[in-house]
Amino acid sequence: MLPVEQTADRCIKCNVCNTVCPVSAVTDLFPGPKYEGPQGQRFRAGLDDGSPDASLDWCSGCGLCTQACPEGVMIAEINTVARSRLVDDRGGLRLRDQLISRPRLLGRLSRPVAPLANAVMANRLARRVIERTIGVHRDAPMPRFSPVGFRSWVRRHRRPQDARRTVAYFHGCAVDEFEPAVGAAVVRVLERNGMAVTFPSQGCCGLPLISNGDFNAARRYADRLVAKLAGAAGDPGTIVANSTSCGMTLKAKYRELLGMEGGAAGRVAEAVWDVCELLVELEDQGELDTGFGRMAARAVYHPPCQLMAHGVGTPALDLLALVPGLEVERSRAGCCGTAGTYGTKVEKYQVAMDVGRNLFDQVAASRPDFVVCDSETCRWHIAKATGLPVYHPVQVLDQAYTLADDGVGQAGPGAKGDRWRSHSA
Amino acid sequence: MRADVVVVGAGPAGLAAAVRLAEGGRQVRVVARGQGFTHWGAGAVDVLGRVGGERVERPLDAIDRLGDSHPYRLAGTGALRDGLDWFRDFAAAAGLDHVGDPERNRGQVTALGTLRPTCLVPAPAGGELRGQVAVLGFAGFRDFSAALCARGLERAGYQATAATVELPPWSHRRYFTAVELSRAFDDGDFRARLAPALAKAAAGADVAVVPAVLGLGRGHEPWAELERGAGLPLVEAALAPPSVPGLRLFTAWRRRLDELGVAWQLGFPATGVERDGDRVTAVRCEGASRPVVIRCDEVVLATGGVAGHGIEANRDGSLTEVVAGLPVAGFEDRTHFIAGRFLAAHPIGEAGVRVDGELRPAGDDGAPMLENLRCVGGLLAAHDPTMEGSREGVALATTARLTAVLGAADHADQDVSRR
Repeated sequence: MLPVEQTADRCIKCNVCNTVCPVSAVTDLFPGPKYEGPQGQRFRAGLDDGSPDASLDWCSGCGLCTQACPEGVMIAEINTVARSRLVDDRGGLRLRDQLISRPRLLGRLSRPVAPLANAVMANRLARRVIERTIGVHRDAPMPRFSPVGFRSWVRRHRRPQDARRTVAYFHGCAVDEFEPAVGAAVVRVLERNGMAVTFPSQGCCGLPLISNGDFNAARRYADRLVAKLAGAAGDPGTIVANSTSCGMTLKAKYRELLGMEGGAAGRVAEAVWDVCELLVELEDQGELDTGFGRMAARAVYHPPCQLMAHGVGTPALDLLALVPGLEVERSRAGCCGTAGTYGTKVEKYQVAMDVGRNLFDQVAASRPDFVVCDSETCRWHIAKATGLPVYHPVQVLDQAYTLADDGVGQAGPGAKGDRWRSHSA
Repeated sequence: MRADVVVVGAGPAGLAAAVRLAEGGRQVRVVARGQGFTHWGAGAVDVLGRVGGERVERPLDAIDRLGDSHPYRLAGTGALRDGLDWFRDFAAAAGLDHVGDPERNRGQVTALGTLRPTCLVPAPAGGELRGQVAVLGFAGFRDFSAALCARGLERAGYQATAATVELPPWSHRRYFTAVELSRAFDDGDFRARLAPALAKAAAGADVAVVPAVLGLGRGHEPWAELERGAGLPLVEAALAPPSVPGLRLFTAWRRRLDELGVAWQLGFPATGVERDGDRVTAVRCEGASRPVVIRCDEVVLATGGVAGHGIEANRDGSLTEVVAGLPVAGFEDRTHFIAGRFLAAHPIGEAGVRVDGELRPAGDDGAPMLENLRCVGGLLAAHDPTMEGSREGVALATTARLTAVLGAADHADQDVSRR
C-alpha cells in the first residue's frame, strides 16, 4: 500500500472531492479537500518548512472526500497527517485539545464526582466559563459521566453457559465512561446469538489525539492498546467494537496514519469487527436470532461518516429491516457535523451545526420516534440538535428482543426499563 | 454480506442497472471505488454523436453503420429505446425533465461556445438558441468566460454578445467553484435579487446562455423560476467537471437507491470474485483491514473502461479487467499506446470486454466464460464512448438488455439458468 502522502500523485484534479465536502459547503474558512490535500501536498512533501496553509485545521476529518475520490487519493488522511505537522510546528496541542482528546482521563477524573461533574456541565454559567477559559462551546453536547463504569457491570455479569463461540468486546472509552447502557445492549445481543463475550483489558484507542494532531501521544496510546488486545486477536480471534470511529482506528488508522503495519497491530486490525458487521455475517449464515418483537415506530437512520470508512456498507440498515413494524428512513446527509471532538470547539461549533443542518431538517420533516446512529459523538450531537432520543442500532435490536420476550409492542428502546439509562433516552 | 445482485460501479450504467434490477424486485448492492461519470460528464444523454469521425444527425438510424459487436448491435435498438424511455421517466419523476428526441441529435452548448452533439438534455440546457443570444457570466466565477463562449457561438454562426452580471452578496467571500455557486442558487432570495440584473444584462436578446450553475439541490426549479424572473429563456452551458447537472442527477439516483433499499458504498473497490466452476459466488472488495466478501447470485460489472478503472494496463502493455480478470479485447500491444494526435481517437478507447448476447464475457469461440456475470456500459468492447459520443446511450441500452435478461431468468426454470 502506498503511504498516505504519496497517494496525492494520483490526483487528476477533477474536483469531485470538493463536491462532497460538508465543511466547505457551509464555510469559506475551508477551501475544500482538493486544495488542502493533494494540491497543498506539493508544498509539504519532504520539506521541513511547515504547512503552507493553516486553513486545513478546518477539515473535520469526516473522510467523505477519500470515499468519493475515483482515483484512490487518501485526501482526508493527507490532511490529518498535515495537521499533525501543523501541531508540531506550533509546539503541540493547546490545553483544550489536550483535554478533549483524552476522554478516558476525563472520565476517570470525573467518575468519583460524577453527579457534581454532570451538574457543572449542565450549568449554563459554568459552561460559559468553560467556553471562555478552555474553548469548549457552551452549547456543545456533553455526555453524562456515568457514576458506575461499564467494567463494574461486567464484574457482576453472569456469562451464559451454552455459547457456540467466543468473541472479545472492545467497548472503548465511551461505553465505559458515559454509556454503559450501550455496552450492556451489545453484550445481551451477542449472548442471545450464541456468543460468550470476553472483556480484555483495554484503553483509549487514541483517535481523538490523531484527529487533533498529536501523533506522538496517539502512538503511545496505540502501542499500549495493541499490546492489550494482541492476545484477543489470537484467541478468540474476533474483537467486536460498537464505536465505529474507534473500530475504524484499530482497523485502518494505525496503519495509514501512525505507520503501524503488520505485527501485532496488523493482527488486531484484522480481528476487529463492527458489531453490526458481525451480526449481518451471522444472518447470512442463518445464525442470527431474528425473532424480534414488533416495534411500532418510525426511525431515521444516520450512517456515521466513520462507519462508511469501514467499507462494510450500512449493516445496521440490514438489521433494522428485520424488526417488524419498524419503519426506517436513511439519512441523506453524508456527515452530522460533529466529527468526534471537532464540533465541541468554540470556533467550530457553528460549522458543525451548519453541516448537520441537512440531517436535522430531514429529521424535522420526517418526525420519527427516534434516530439511530452507530457513533457515540454523532448520537450526542444529533440528540442535542433534534431533541430526539438517538440510539445505537444494537440498542434497538436489544429492545426488539425484549419486546419478543414480553410480547408487548412499545415504541423505542428507552421505553423499557433499562437499569442503565442511555445518555439520550 | 450477501445480495441477489452485486453491481460494481456507480456511473450511469451501474446506477441504472442497480435501480432497474431493484425495481424488478432484486435485492441489490452497489460497490464502487468512488464517484463515477455523473460528476464528470455534461449531464446529458449522448446516444451516438459520431460514426467514423462524422457527425450523426439521426442516431437510431446510424446504428446500422456500426460494427457487429458494438454494444448497440448486441443490445438491439429496442433495448436502446427502452433504456431512453425508462431514463426519461426516471429523471422526470425526480424533477429533472429532459428534452430531446431519440430520432434526432441536438447540440448542447458548452463553455467554449461549441455545440456538442447529444440526444437528450436536461430542460435547463434545452432551450433553442435563436435570434440575438446574450451570453452572461457571473462576476468572480472563474470557470466560465462569457466572452469566450460568445466568440465560439459567433464562430458557429450565431449572433452572440457577452456580458458579466454582478452576483448579489452571498456567503462566500473568497473565490468559489461551480458547485458552491450552484448552492447559492437554491436560495429563492438569492435568485429574486439576481433576476433583475439578469434581465438588464440580457436586454434586447431573445435568449440568454448562462453557466450550468442554476441550483443544485432543488432539481430544475431554480432554473425555471429564474427564467420567469429574467423574462427570457435561459440556457445552461456545460462546464468543465465537476458537472452540476450531473450532480443533480446523481442526487436523484441516490435517492432512488435509498427508496428501493439498495445498499451502496463508495471508496472501496471490488478487487476480485470467488468462483465455483463457471459461476461467480461472491465479490471481494477492499475493506478497512481485510477483504469484504459479498456473496451473491449475480454480478454486474459497470466499472467503465480505462478512465473509469474498469481496465488497467500492465507493465508489459497487456490490459486486464480489474475485478474478475477477464480478457480485454481490442488492443494489440503497447506500441499502440502512442496515438497519432493528442485528444484524437486513441486505440485504448475501444478496448473492452467482449460479451455474448446476454452480456456475459465471451471467449474467442463466443461461448460465455461465466454464467452469472454480466458487463454493461463503458467496459464493453468495440465502442469508444468518448469519441463516438455514446456513453449514456450505451449505459442505458445495455442495462435495458440486462434487465430483460435477468428478468427472464426469474421466470425461467432453475435448470434453464443452471444449464
